[in-house]
Amino acid sequence: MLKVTVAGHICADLTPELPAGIGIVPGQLTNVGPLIIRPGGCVVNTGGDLAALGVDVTTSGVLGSDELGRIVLDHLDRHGIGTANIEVSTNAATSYSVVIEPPGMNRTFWHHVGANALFDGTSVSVNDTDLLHIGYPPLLPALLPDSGAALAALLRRARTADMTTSLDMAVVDANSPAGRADWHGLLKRILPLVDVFSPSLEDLRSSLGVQSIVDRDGLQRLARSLIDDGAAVVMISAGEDGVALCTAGAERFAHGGRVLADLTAQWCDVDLWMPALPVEQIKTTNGAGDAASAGLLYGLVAGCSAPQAARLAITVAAAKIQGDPIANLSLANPNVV
Amino acid sequence: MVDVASLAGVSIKTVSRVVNGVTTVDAEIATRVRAAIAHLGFQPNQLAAALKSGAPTATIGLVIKDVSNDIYATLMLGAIDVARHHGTQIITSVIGESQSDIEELDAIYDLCRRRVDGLIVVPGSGDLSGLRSQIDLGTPMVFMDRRPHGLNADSITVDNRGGSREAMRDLIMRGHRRFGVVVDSLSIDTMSERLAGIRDSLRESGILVSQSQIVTGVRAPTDAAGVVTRMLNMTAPPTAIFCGNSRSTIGAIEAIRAQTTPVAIAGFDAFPLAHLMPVPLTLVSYDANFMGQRAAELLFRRIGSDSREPEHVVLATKLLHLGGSLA
Repeated sequence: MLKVTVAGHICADLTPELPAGIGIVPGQLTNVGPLIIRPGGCVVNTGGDLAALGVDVTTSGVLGSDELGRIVLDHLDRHGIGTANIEVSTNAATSYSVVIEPPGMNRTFWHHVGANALFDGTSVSVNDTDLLHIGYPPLLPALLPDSGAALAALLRRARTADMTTSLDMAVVDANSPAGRADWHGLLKRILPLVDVFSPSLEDLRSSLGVQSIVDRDGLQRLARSLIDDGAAVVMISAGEDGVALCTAGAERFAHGGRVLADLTAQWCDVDLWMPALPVEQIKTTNGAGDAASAGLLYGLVAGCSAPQAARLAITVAAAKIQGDPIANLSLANPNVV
Repeated sequence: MVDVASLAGVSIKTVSRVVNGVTTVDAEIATRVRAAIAHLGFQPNQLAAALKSGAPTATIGLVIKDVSNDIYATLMLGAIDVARHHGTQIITSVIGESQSDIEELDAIYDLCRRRVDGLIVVPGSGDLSGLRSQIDLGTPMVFMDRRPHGLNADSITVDNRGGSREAMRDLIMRGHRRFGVVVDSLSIDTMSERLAGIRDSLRESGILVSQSQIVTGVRAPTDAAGVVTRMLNMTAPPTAIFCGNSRSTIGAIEAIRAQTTPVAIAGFDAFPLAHLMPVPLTLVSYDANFMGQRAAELLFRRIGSDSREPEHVVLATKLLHLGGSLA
């Protein structure tokens, strides 16, 4: 099978098990449950899911030279994910999020950018790999200056090596430097260099300010507009609703790197909606969007059709949400998915 | 009783026979005993008598949520009404939403130890399978408002899913597409069912559920007011708010008072003075008094040794349009 490199955002999620109704009261001691340290970010999540699906994955990103960094590296090693391109820096701490998630309540995050601020794409190797997946520019500030010049340079380098390029986004915090970036201009500049774009609707709402999308038709129109901006394959995930998948014409696929080159006939000019699978018990929604991206990319590198790949995206995402091991999914024959 | 016997100049046994209405007691002696009872103000202890004989105690237990919430007060009044007709008093234990499953079980077992004839329980979300042995030992239980987890016993609940689905359809029909949803913790079954109904109606209309602002775990009206205020200050605020219960509805009303653009409010549960609110309200209402009555009737049927399979009654809801227009 084709090889994939996942590059960019890498961090650890620190999730204390909390009782219901907990609040922050100054001066008060409250008993809580054990702390769960879970490596995360696009590199760990999408990379890990692809590896679990049987894809040969290598990773690229920046960690701090600290305990958290060692935990993340160890996690990647144990899951058979290549770490030769992971940089360990003494200039910043490993990025982390404290996840505040009491039972029955919405989640709150406290996020430290840390070593992810040092990722500028220059250390990513474009040799001996077929698809480069990058996530998430809003949390990788070194990629953003000058309308995403560093991101565009990385994508161009991959394209020159005839790789297929893929990009995932994250929600843009309006109060961060990324919140002040011109995302309309940035995406218009880089999308012609992006073959596969798999953001969530939330990512696009927060970066592009598209507030008017409230129904499926609007979502599919938005996906089509991103194809018009230059991407070849766009999948927008809308949480529990499902995913909209939209693709460009045959001409664009001809410039889509090694992975898309063989798929033109069955993938061009697609416009479809795939409703999410019902989930019995939600274990976590953490990494569900990354899992959907992994399902889509697996579909591409395994040579599936567009509807099969969309089906894979929602299947892998549902498994992630239910806490089922991705490796247990029987995807050997995509026709049965 | 010893004093009565002494004053009337009869044995304790004779006093007991008079008190229990045995007709073979000599009329003159019976009159003397009754005069002594009246003189001393003697009250026979029915509970002690029942304990000794194993007979019913003419008391039932009620384990209920916060009775300052009008819905629970109304449920209780319905149950009391039926109990009165059965010559039965109710011992009430209030177990709030934030109290633990263990506190709830403690209250239920405490009432069982007091030898109540049966129990009506508004259950929390804990596993109640351990109560099976109490029911089998002869303390029947009826569950009201929510079905018990881990136990198949009589229950009477509301069509939560259908009710919220209908209210949301009403809002969608009136042109709303952007929604805020405020509900209490989803560990409470009524809340997760109401949220499921909201999802149903959004999906059937092709509206993205994920784009609605759904906030869970909101309990006090002031918290709901804060949540709704934050929703309305967003770039593309909801044009309609759905609240999972009346406390959230009251909080939402408080929040939209400060708004210049009209915001529609729908919510589960009617509440007192809702018709006087200065904003239009769409409320999912049901007959809580009837639910309390029906629960008590089911319980008395079981106390009367009815051994049919457990019954699960689901009450229908209706949509009310109350309140006035914005000034």
